[in-house]
Amino acid sequence: MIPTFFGITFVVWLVMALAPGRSGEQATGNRDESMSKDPNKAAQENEAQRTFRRQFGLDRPMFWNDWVSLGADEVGEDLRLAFGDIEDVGADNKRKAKERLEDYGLYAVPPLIDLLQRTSGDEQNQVRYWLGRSAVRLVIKRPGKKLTDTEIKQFREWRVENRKFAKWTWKESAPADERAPIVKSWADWFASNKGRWEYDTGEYYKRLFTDTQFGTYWGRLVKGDLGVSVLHKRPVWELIRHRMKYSLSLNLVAFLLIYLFAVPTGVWAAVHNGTTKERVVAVLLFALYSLPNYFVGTLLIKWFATGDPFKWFPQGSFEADDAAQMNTWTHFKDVLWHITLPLMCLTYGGLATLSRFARSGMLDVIRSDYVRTARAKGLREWNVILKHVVRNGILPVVTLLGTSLPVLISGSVAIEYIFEIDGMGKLMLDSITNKDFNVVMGVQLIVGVLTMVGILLSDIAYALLDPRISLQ
Amino acid sequence: MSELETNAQEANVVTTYWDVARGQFEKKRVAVFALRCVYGLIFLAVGAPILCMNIPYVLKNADGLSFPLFEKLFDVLVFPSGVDRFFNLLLVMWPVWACSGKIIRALGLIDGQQNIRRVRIFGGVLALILALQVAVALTGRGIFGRLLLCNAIGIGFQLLQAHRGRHLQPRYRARVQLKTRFALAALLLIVFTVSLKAWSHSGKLVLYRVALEKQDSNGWAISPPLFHHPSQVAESSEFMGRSPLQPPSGEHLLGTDRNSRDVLARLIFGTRISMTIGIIAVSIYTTIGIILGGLAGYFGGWIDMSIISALQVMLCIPTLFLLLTIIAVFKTSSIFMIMVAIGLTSWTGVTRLVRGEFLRQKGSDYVMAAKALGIPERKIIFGHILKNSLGPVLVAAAFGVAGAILAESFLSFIGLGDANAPSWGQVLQAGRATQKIWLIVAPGMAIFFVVTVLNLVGDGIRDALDPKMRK
Repeated sequence: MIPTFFGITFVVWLVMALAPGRSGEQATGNRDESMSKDPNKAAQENEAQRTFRRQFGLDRPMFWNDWVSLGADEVGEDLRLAFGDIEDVGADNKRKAKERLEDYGLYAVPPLIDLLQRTSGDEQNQVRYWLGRSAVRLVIKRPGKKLTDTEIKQFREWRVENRKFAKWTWKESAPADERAPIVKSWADWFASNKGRWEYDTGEYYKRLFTDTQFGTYWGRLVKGDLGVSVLHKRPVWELIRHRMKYSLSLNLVAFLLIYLFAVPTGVWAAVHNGTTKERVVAVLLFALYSLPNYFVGTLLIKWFATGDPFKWFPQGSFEADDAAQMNTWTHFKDVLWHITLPLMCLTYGGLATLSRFARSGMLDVIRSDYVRTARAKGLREWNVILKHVVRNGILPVVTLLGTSLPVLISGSVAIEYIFEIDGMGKLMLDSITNKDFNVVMGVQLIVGVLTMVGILLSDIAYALLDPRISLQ
Repeated sequence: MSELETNAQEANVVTTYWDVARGQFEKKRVAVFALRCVYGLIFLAVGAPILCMNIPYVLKNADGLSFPLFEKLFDVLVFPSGVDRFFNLLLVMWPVWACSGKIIRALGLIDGQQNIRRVRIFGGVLALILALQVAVALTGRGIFGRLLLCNAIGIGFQLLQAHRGRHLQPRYRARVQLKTRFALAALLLIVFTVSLKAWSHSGKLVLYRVALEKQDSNGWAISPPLFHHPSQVAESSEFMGRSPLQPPSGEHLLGTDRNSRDVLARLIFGTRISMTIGIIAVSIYTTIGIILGGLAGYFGGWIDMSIISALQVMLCIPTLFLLLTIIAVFKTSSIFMIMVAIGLTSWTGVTRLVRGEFLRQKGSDYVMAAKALGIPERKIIFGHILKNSLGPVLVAAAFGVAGAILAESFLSFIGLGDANAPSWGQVLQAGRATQKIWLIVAPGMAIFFVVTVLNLVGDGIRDALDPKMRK
C-alpha cells in the first residue's frame, strides 16, 4: 500500500517536473511577457514568481540537494557564466547560470561572503548584488492559514534583517575604500550568524534529501497539504472535496445501475446461450460497447434537451440554480431530472462490458462438471443456476470492481464536460486548460488513492467470496 | 523416385499454430467481414486524395497537358500535415511494390507455380501505374523522378529476395517474405525522413475549381469524384456568399462545418489520422509491454518485483488523466506527441499479459530443451517463449487500436488535439458547439464504425486463439 502510494505521488509529480521551462513559471505568468512591461512591474512579478517557487520548493534541485556543500568556485563559475560575454559562454548557459544563482538562495551565502572578500571591481559588484538577493529570507504567507505568534515574531525579525541588507550596498563605480566598511559589515554579520550554515551530520543529510523539489512536495503531502489552486485561490483539497460529491454520487449511482443490470443480463445470456434472442441481445450490447460516450452524450443533448425534437431534460449541470431553497424531496427530484441523461451515458458502456464479462464467466461455470452433476442429481434448474452457477461465476465480476473505478472516473470526465457538471473530471479539464497544475496533481492523486482503495476492497471481497483464496 | 519426392513434400507441409488459428478465424464470417472492413479503411486512408481532393488528376489547357494532383501530392501548401505526406508516399509506392510482388509470385519465381493470367492482370495494372508515374515525372517538377528510382529499388529488392528464397521450404520462405516486407517498410520510412526537409513548395495555392470554371472549351480535366479539400474553405462560385454551415446537399454530401469546409472530405482524411494513431500508439506500447513483461516473467526476482510495483502504480492512475496531463504540460498538440503519449501511458495491460504468459511457459519442456541445447537466453526469450505468447498480445493489440482511436478523438473533442489535423473528434466538437445534426452524427458514426469493426476483429482473433471454442 505505502510503496504504491509513494509510487503514485512520484509518477504524478514526475510528469509535472519534466515539463519544459522553469517550474512555477506557468503559475505566475510567462517570464518573457512580464519582461516586456515596465521594469517596476517586471521586478514585482519576478519577486512574486520567486516567492511562489520558494513556497513550493520549486527552486531546489529535483532529487538531490548537493547545494548544502556549495563551494566558492562553483558560485564563481556561475557568476562568470552569468556575466560573461554572450558569444563566449552561449545564451543558454548564461540563462541557466542566472537561474541557478537565483535559485541557490541562502545556500549561496557562505561562498558569496567568501568571494566578496576576495574579489574587487566589477566582479565584486556582481557578488554584492547576488549576496543582497540570496541572503534575504522570503516571508511567505499561506492563504487560508493563520499565522501563529512565533511566526509573526519571526517574520518581523526577518523583515528587519532584510531591510538592513538593502542598505549594505554601494554605487557601481565606488572606490575600494568606500566598499571596505560595507564588506566588513557583511563579514561581521556572517560571522555572528555563522551557526545557521554549520550543519551537523543529521541536518546535512536531512537537507541533502528533503530540501529538494520532490522532498518538499512529499513533505507537504504527508501533512495532507495538496497546495493552493492558482485559479480559484483556494486550497486544492477543499476544492476537490467540494467537487467530489458530484462526481462520486454520479459514479456511485452509475456503478449500482451497471451491476444491477449487467449481472442478470449476463446470467440470462449464459443460460440462453446460442438462442436467437441471446444473439440479438449480444449484438445490441456489442454495439453499445463500441459507442463512444461523448458521441452519445452530444447526441442525447441534441435530441432530448435542445428542443429539437424534444425538450424533456435540461442541457447540463447537476442541479437547478435555486437548489439551495428546495426541500429535500423536490431537490432529489430536481437532481434526478438533471442527471438522467448523464447517467444513461455513464451506464450503457459499463453495462455492455460487464454483462459480456459476466456471460463468459457464467459460461465457463455452466460447462463445468459439477453443474452437470448438480443437474444429474435432479436439482431444479433455477436452483442449479442460482446456487451453483451464479455464486461461482460472479467471482470474476467482483474482481472487476476495483479496476473499473478508474475507467468509470475517466468516462465521467467526458460526461462532466459535455453536461457541464462541476465534478472532479470537469475540475481536472478546467485546471489543465488553465495550467493550474496544483489542482491537476491533486485530482490525480486523489483518484489514484481511491482506485488503490477500490482494488484493495475488491481483493478482500474476492477472498471473502472464494474460500480457495486466503486473506493473508 | 517422384513418388518419394511428393511424400517428402507432403511431410514438409506443417500445420502450425497460426495456421490452425487462421482456419478458426475464417470460420467466423462476421470477423472476416470486419477484417475486410479494416483493410478497406486502410485503402481509404491511403487513397484519400484519389477519392477526394480539389485538384484534377489530368488537366489540359493552353499550357499543355499536366497532372496537377500527382505533382502536388508532396506540396507543403496542399498537404501541410506530415501524416498526409506519409500516406501520399505510400500511395505512390505501395501499389507498385504490391503489384510487382504479385507478378513475381505469379511468374513462379518463388514457389515454381506459374499463373499466366495473374501475370497478365497485375502486369497490366503495374504498367498503367508506372506509365502514369513516368508521365508525371516527365511533365512536372515534383519529386517523382526520385520516387521512381525508389520504386525500382523496391522491385529489385523483391526480385533478389525471391531469388534467395526459391529453394527454401515453405516455412522458411515465409520468413524471407516477412523480411522483405520489413525491408520495404524501412525503405519507405527512410525515403520519408530523407525527403522531410526537401518537400516541394510551389509557393502559391491554385484554386482549380475557379480555374476550371473559367476555362475555355478547348481545355478539359479529369477530376476526383469529390472535389473538396479537407481543410480549405470550399470555393465553388455558387457557394460564395452563403452561410458557412451548409446542411447536406448534392454538392456537399455531408454538409459543411463552421469554416465552410466539406465534412465528408474531413472524415475521409480523418481516416488517415485515426489509422496512424491506432497503429503507431499500439506498436509503441506493445513493444514496451513485451519487453517489460518478458523481463519480469522470465527473470523473476527483483526485476519482476520492480516491474510489478511500477505496474500497480500505473494501474491506480487513470490513463486518461495521465494522458491529458502530459499533453497539457508539454504544451504540445502535434499528432506525433499524442501517439507517443498514448504509447507511454497504456502499456500496463500488455505487460501483465506477457508476464503471465512467460510465467506459464517458463517451466515448460520446450524451454528446458532449448536451455539444455545451450541456446542463448536472448534467443529463448524472443525466439521461443515470445513467439508462443504472442496470441493474447495480438488480441490486446486489436482492441488497443480501437482504444487509441477513441482516446485521440476524445482529445480532439475536448480541444486538446492537433488543431491542424482533420480528426473526427474535432468535427464532433464542432457539432457540439453548433448543435447541427450532420456535424454530430457523421463523425460519431465514423468513430463508431471503426471501433466496432476493430472490436469485432479483436473478438474474432480471441475466439480463434481460444482452444475452448474449437470444435
